Amino acid sequence: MDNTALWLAIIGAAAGTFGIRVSFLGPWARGQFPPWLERALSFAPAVIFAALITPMILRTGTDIPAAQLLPRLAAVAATLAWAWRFGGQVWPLVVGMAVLHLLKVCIG
Amino acid sequence: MQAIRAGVVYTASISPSYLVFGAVCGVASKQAGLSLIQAILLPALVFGGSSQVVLTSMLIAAAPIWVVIVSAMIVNSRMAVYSAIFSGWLRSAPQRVRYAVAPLLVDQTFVGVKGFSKDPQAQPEWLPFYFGSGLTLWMFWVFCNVIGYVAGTIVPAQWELDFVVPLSFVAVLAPIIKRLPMAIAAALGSILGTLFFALPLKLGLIAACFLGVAIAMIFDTVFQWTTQRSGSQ
Repeated sequence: MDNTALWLAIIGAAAGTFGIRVSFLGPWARGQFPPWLERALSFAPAVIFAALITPMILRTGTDIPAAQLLPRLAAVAATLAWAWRFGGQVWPLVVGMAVLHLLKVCIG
Repeated sequence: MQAIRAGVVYTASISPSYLVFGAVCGVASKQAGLSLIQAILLPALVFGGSSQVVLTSMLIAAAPIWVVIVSAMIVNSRMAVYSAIFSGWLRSAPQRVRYAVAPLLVDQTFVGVKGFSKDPQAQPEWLPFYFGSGLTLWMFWVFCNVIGYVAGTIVPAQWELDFVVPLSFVAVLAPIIKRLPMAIAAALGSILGTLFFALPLKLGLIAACFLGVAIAMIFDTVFQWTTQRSGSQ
């Protein structure tokens, strides 16, 4: 990637994101979505986050051995269970990382 | 003053997860070949970890610039929802206040205000809380990115600290998917995100998002229809 492309990506993403943030806060906004768009946007985070992280967790595109996948999946399950039950932003991660490394040590 | 301090304290309480996440983003900026200035401006201007992860990983994969930008924007599209909700809370506020609120709109400041104020539309005291929390988070976020950029390679790779990124999204998803239609939306995202991972030009995330949301809406419509029907019998 040449430097111009990097600047374009950063400035483009920054401008686009600010546009999204200000979309309903500018003087033009009446503060109302069309109902279909509101519904679509309500589903977007669940779809996007899941689509983003699943290949990260499974290391899609690499030849990861099943034995290495197991601790990762267990860590995800632990974080999910903890966050489901207790919520929070910090402890679910601590629990997940602890499970990951515990199992890595156990499986060796 | 009290409210500003409450905002700062709130941000401090969630800061440990941001420390690692921000540092991981900084490492990713380094790997994507950004200069230090670029690695400071990216978190300072975009201020959204998930979109930064997408942006840097797509730069590393040499995706076309327009795909990089659109993918980052799609990840940040949820901020339009926050924008609309804050717009409702700030209906009678001066326009300059509404503009000032916009750059600090992130998941955690939104969640923070909802926890701080029972009725944000009637009680404007949440505004100092919001700016206290948001500005602290912003400064901390940029700081953590720089730490990662400068010192990220010190941490041994075996620690797998970058796994904190997917885990933190799992933690965000957990309360959302307690509702069945949302759980299905997440399942669709998982499947489509994996299936489309190898699409050319790194278009997979964009495709998974649009198709996933469309199918989730169809399912939700059917779901609402059947529950209404069984309710009326």
